[in-house]
Amino acid sequence: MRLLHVINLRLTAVTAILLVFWSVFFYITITREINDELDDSLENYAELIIRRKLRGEALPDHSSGSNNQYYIKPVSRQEALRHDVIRYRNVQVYVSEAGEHEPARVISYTFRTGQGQYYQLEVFTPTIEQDDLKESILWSMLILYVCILSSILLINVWGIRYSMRPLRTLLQWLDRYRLNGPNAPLRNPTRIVEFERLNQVVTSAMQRNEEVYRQQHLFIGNASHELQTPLAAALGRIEMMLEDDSLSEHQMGELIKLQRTLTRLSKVNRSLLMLTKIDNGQYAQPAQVDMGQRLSQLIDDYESAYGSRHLQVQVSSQEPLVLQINEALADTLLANLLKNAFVHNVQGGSIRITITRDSLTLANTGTPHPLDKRLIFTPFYHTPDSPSSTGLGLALVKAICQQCQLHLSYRFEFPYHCFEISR
Amino acid sequence: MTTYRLTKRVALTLCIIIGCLSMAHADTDKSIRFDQLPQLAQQTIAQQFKGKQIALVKQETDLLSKSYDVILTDGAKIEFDHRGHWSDIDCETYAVPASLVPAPIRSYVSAHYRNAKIVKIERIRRGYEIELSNNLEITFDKAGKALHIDH
Repeated sequence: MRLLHVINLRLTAVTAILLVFWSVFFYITITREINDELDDSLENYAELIIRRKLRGEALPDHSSGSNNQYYIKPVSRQEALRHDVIRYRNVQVYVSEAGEHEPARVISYTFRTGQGQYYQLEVFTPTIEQDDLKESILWSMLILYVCILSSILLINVWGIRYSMRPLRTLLQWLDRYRLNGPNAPLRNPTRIVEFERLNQVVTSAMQRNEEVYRQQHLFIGNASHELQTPLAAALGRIEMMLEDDSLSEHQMGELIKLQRTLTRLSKVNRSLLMLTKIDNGQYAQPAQVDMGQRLSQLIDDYESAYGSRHLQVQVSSQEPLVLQINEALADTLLANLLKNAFVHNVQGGSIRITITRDSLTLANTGTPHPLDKRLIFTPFYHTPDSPSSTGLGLALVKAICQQCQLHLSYRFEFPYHCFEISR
Repeated sequence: MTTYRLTKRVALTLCIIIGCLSMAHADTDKSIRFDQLPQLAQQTIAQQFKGKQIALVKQETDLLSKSYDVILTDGAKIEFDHRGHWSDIDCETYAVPASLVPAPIRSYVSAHYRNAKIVKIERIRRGYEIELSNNLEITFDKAGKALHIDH
C-alpha cells in the first residue's frame, strides 16, 4: 500500500530526526555529568589539601586508597603568577604498573600561605574508567537508537495497516465489482466515520449505476424483441409475394431489394439482441473449446463462400488454444473475425492466422492505411467500403471478449491488419 | 519550499545544535581576584575577617547560578552565593565571628554548650546547620530553634 509507505516514511523520518537530537543531547548531558563528578571529587580533595597546608597540618598520604593523587611544591612568586591560578587539564600519565600511558584529569592550584610562600598543588586521577564508561554509553545509545527506531517503524507499519483495513476491503470489493455481474454485497463494518461514509457513498453509487444499466438493457432487449416479430412477419410476406408468378420483372426486382433491406435490418436487430444477452450474462455455460478446431471448420465454410476473391489462407498453430468459453459465443466470435478478414480483403489478398497457447491472431490484407483502433470496436462503425455490413461485428467480438475476460487488440503491420485475442 | 522557510528551518536546526554543544562545556572553577567578588562578599570579609590574608578565591558555576569560595591563609573557607551572601563559613580551628551567627543560635549554644565554640555554620533548606568544637552537629530552623543533634 503506497499510502502506508507515505505515512510511515513521514512519521518515521520525523521521529528519527527527533530521536537524533534527543540522543545527542542526552549523550552530551551524561558525559558532562560524568566529567563534573570527576572534577568535583578532585576539587574537594584539592580543597582539603590546601586548607591543611595552610593550617600547617599533616597532608594526606600520597596514595590514600582512592585513585586521587597529588603533588605539591613550593614555587616562586613569578612562577605562581605565570600560569592561571586554577587550571584544568587532561593529560597522559605514565603508569609504571601498567607500563604505558593512560589518560588522567589534572587540576592545578596556586595559592599563598600566611607567610607569603607560594605553592603549586596538582591533584589528578586516572580517567580510564570514565572514558570506558563514556564509550560503552555511546555504543549502548547507538544500539538503543537503532532498536527504538526499528520498533517505532514496525509499530507504525502495524498500526497503519490495521487502521487501513476497511479501505483495503473496500478497494478489493471495488476491484471484484462487475457492472452486470452478480456482486457480493459490501461487508465492511467499521467504527471509523470516514470509512463508513466511503462505504455508503460507494455502495449507493454502484447501486445507482446498476439500476441505470439494468433499465437500459431491459429497454434495448425489449425493443429488439418487439422489432423482431414484425420484421419476421414482413419478410415472410415478401417471400410469399415473390412466389407469385404474376409479378413483373421490375416489381420482382423492387421486392428483392426490399427483402435485402429488411434482412439487413433483421440482422442488425439480432446482433443487438445478442449484444444485450451477452452483457446480461445469458451465455453463462462455458465449456472447454479448442478455438483452432472451431476456426478450421469456419474457414472451410467461408473459403467456399468467398472463393471468387481468391484469398490465400494460412494457419500456423504451435499449440492448441483451449478456452473456457460458451460454445455459441466462441462461434460468434470466430465467425465475426473471420468474416471481416474475408470481406474487408482485397482481390488475391491473404489471411494469416497464428495460434499459440495463449493467443489467436487473425491478420488480413486490406486497405493500405491502419484503422482507427478507437473507433472500430464501437457499435455501428462502418468502413466506407462495405455499406452492407451491420457495423456490429467487432462490437460483438469486443463484448464477447469482455464477458470471457479475454484481451482484444488491433494493430497494423503493413500490409496486414492484425486482430489478436489473448488471455 | 520557499527560500525563506528553508532558511528559517536551517537556522532553527543550527540553533538547536549549538545549544546542545554549548551544554557540553563542563563547568569548571575559575580563580578570580578579590575585587571581582560581589560587593557584599568583599564587605563581609573585610569587616568580619579583618586582617586575614587571602590564599585563594574561586568562582564556581553550576547549571544556572554562581557561587564563590574564599580560602584564607589560616585555612578557613567562606562560601558566598551569587549575590554575595554567605552560605557556608568553616573556620575549622577557631570560632566563626559572632556577628555572623544569628542570635538565637548563639544563645542556644552558650546556654547548652558553654565551653564549645561554633567552628562551622551553614545555611541549609530548613534553616541552619552548625558544627561545634566538640564535634556536635546541630540543626536549627530558620527562626533559630534547635531541631536535631548529631554526634
